[in-house]
Order: sequence, then structure tokens, then C-alpha cells
Amino acid sequence: MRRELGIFCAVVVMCGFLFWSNHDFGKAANLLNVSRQAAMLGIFAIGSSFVIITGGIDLSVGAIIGLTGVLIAKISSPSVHCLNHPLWVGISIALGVALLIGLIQGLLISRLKLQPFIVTLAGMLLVRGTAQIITHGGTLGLGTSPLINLSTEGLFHYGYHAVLAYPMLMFIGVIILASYLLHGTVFGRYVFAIGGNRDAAQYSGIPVDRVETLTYVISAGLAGVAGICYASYIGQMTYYVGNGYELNAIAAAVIGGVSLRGGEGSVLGAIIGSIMMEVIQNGIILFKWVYHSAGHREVFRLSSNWTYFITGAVILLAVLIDQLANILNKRKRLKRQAQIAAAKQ
Amino acid sequence: MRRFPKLTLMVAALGLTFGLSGCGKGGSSSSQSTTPTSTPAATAAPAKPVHVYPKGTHIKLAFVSNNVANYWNFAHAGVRAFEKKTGIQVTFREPAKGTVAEQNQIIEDLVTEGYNGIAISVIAPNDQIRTLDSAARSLNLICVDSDAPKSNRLMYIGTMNYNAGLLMGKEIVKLLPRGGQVAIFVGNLAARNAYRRLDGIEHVIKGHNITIVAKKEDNQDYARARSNAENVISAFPHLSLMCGLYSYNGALAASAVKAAGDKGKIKVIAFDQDPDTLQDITTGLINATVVQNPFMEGYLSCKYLRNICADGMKAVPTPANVDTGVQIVDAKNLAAYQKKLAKMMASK
Repeated sequence: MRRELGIFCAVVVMCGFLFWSNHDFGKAANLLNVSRQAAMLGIFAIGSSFVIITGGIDLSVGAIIGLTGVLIAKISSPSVHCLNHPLWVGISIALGVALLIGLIQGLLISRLKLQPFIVTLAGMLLVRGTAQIITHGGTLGLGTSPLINLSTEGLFHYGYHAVLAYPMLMFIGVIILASYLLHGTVFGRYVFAIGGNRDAAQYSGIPVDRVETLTYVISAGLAGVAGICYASYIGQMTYYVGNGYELNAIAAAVIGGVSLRGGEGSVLGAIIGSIMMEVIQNGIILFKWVYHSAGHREVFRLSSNWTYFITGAVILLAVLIDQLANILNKRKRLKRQAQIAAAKQ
Repeated sequence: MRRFPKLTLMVAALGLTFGLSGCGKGGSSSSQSTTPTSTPAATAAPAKPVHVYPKGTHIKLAFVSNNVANYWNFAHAGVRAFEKKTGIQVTFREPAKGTVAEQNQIIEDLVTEGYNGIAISVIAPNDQIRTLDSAARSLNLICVDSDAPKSNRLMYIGTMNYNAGLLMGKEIVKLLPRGGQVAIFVGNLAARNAYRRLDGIEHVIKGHNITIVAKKEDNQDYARARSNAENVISAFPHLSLMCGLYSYNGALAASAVKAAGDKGKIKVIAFDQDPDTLQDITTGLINATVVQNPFMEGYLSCKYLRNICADGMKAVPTPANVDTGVQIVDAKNLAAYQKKLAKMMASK
């Protein structure tokens, strides 16, 4: 919890700084946009966190996001080259395919003892290739499909904007379910146990294979849910939608304190990590610095060229601060334990 | 115990995988040995090799795009129209990931398979000169859509992006008669087609009280393109117009405008003829789009390649550029343009 608190403070400081720099950052429209973007990232970052906590990795989530959208467009869009079936058919099939991909990958990893990296890398290419075949390398538009409104409509309105847009509601649902699953059930304890010490988990009778398989199903399923949101958000699907998103998910999870060594992490951490990732992107555009030069009022803004640099720097800084805090805490604890031991003697 | 190795190793391996990908082989046209006559091109210094083949030679031609996109479907239709008209088969190749390594591999494969002419949309004009020049020693090479003027290509066919930018700039001035703030959205501003379009726009809007307040890149990530548009709307409350330089940017900017409830307040101008862009013109979210002519790029590149193989540089105009032209499509001429598009695609 202390790790999440540290990152949360960093996010608050960043938001405060951006608001100071540009008051438009605090406008409802902007905050609702950022929260929706963070919600979409957060949905699949939480899924990836399950896998990472077991000590695994899922590189196929970005491709699954793309394939889900492509399938929905192909099956349910009224546009040309699409089948125009009801939306629920498209969404059900797309989600079913996503879950099936997760199940196959999970079984290959847990039963055949294949490396998660290789299996999900191959999965990523296969899934991306499937999407490319379906789209013939082009674009499938959602046209007038009602799905197009999912990303902008929702509950409670502030001006023109939905305060709780549907992606946000889906995110809240995912948070509740995932938190219960990871932190409130035996399954969740097994996930941590496998990531902490796989052999010990095996010897203590934990159904390691089944639990591990399920984490990949969860990851792929949530990537599918995110795929629905992204399809609605961009309205036109190509096979490379979601390209590289697996790294965004990993980054969000790691920023939030999910350990790549396995055994550590939380749903809350993945949420905060996702918010931080999107605040950075938003901040690069909104940041401005007003100054006066030769009597003229000038405004400095960051160019897009700084995006990767700043994102990388902030991620590194966040994990460095977090790690330093951990080291200091550990030292303090050891010192206290030594003092107690000395006092006992 | 299976453990997840360090992320750096994984990312490196991921990069390696992408780097090694794209080993596709060339087309399967039947091979026939020919003895070409190589002569230097009259118009170029230093001399560019031109390969002229004896009459009756079975000519093998190829068209290489720079990625897989809707745009190339129209070019493909143009290539098919040429095939139908002449009976000459043309191999159409698209680098699936759009990487330089992949495109270079395709070029090398086509050279190995004895092709006589290639029309190519170059991904990185300055970085592929060696590969292009090496190919030009064995076959006739022309550039289409994206030029590599420093290479030994014999000619360029496609949109003059600067002119396209000028046209877009004029449309912006028309849409903003009193001036205003404009934001530019683009996949990658370092790409020649993107910055030449922008140069053209900047040239025209000068002196019209129009300011470009943001230039946002998305590296062809559609979700990022949409969020860039949303963020720019938040950052610039007095924004008057959004301008998309890549085919998908216009429709995604329009979605952001619609979501913000700014339809009519913020105007949108797009590039190319994506179905969503044309749809948004009908609903009034997009005011206009600048369309290129990929069909003619496909058709003319094959035609000129065939003529060069037969007659050498006599077939090439001076200067060695063919502008396939651009036009504005808006609500007034949309229906006529869509009819024209449907007719073109019927050739595929």
C-alpha cells in the first residue's frame, strides 16, 4: 500500500504542476477525457497485472485489442465489406475469441511448460496476422453502428460530456471484480504465491497450472473488453490498432508497483500507473510556460518530439523514487530489528 | 522454476523479431532470360542506368507499396486496370509492417527473380539509396507516391505533396476568412510527404491571420491520434480548425470534435478518401478533404515502366516527374466523387 501511495502522490504532484502551468488542465472536459483514456488503458493493464504477478508476461494483449475491434467491425458494422449482424453477436464472438486465445496461450504455457514470452510473442504475431487477413490490410469502419457512441455516452452529464462514460463504467466494474478476485479470494492468494515462489506453491498443493492458465484467460478477456472500448473510441479498425499497447500495460503495471519478478502488485497500483501514463500524454500537450521576452508575452509549449523522452523519464523517475523509498524503509526496519535484538540481549 | 527474465532482454528480443521479419519472397511471374541494353539516362548527371529490352521480351514488372493501407487498394485497382488493358502481369507487393528492412528485402528478392522494372513508394528516401541504386543497376526503377530524388530512380509519379499542401492551405483560408487558430495532426512529421504538405499549408496561410498553434504526431496509433485531438481541444479553447495530414487523422479529429460538442465551432479538413472521412463530410463534421489519385499512380507507374523497358528514357517526360494531381472534395462534389471511386474500384 505504501508503494501505491508514493506513486499516487507523484500523480497528484504532476496534476498540480500541470494545473499551475495551464488552468485548462483542470477543466471538466479535459479531466473527463483523461479519465476515459486512463480507463481504457487501465482495463487491460489490470489484466496484464494478473499475469505479471504470477511471474509471467503477456505480449499479445495489444494484438487482441486490435483483433477484437476488427472482429466487431467485420461482423456488426453496416459499412461495406462488413456483415451487418446485430452488435451483440459481434461483441460476443469477439470476446469469445479473446478468451479462447487466452485459454490456448495459458494451456501452452502451463501444461506444455513453454516460455510465456515465446508463446505470447507467437500469439501476438498470429493474432495480428489474423486481423490483417480479415481487414485485407485495410480499414474497417464502424460506420453508423451504435457502438460508436459507447466511448462518449454514459451516465450523468456535465455540459456535453458524460461524467461516467461507458468505458469508465466498464473500468469500475473491472476494478471491483479484479480487486475481489486478486485480494479477496483464495485464487488471488494463489496468484501471489505462484509469483513469489512457484516451486513452493507447487509443493504446497496449489493448482499452479490451472491458476496460471486462468491468469492468461483474464488478461486476454480484459484485452477484449478494452478492444471494445477502443473500437468505439476510434471508429475505424485496422490490423495494427493496439500495436505496442502491451508495453503500455506493462509500464502502467510496473509504475503502479507490480513487480516483474512476480509475487508483488495490486489492482490499485495498475490503476494509478494507468492514470500516470495518460496524465503524461495529456500534460505534454497542455503544459505551457508563459514568459516575457523584449516586452512581448510569449508562450512556450512542448513539441511532440518530447513525448517518448518525457514518458521514459517519468517512468524511470517514478520507479527510482519508489525503489529508493523501499530501500530506505528496509534499512529502517533492519535497524529497528537490530535495536530490538540488542535490547533483548 | 520459470521466471520472467528482465524486461530489457524481452524488449530486445521483440525488436530482433521485428527486425528479422519480412522475409517474404517475390512474385511468381515466369522467368525469361533477356539481354538488356543498358544506357545512361540523358537527363541525369551522373548517368543513371536505363535498361532497354528487345522487342518481344516477356517483361516482368512489380509495384511495391510502403505499407498495407486502404490507399494502396486504389493503386492496386490502377495496376489491375493496366494488366487488363495490356495483358502484362504486374506483381503487387506490400510490406506488411511498413519497415525499411522489409521493403529492402522485397526489392532484393525482385532483383534476384529477374524483374525488369519496379515502381516503388520509398519508406525512407535518404536511408534506402544504396539498396535502390543497387536495384537500379539491374532493372528500371521508378518512384511512386514517395520519392527518393537522390537515388538512381528514373522518374517520380505521384502527388506533389507541396502542391497538395498549397491546395489544403487555400481551403483553410477559405474556411477561416477572418483567421484563427489551427492544429495539425499527423502520423510522423519527419516523413517527406507530411512535411512537404505542411510547407505548402504554411506558405499559403501566411498573412491571413491564421496561426498554427499545435503540430501533433501519433506514429500511426489511431487511439493516440484521437486523444491528441481531444487534448488539443482542451489546450486551445479558441481553436478554429483541425487539419489532418494523414488519411485517418481527419476522421479521428472529427470524432473528437463531435464528442466535445464543438461541431460547427471547430472546422475539420482532412487528407485522402478514407470511407470514414467521406462519411463525415456527409454529416458535416468534416468540411473538406484533399484527395490524391492512387489509382492513376498505380496505372501510370506500370505504363511508364513498360515504356521505359521498350524505349528507354525517350518515354520519360522532362523533368522526370508526373503529377497525378489532387482535388478538394466537400459536400458539394462528394456524390460525384464517390461514383468515380466506385468505378475505379470496379477494376480491381
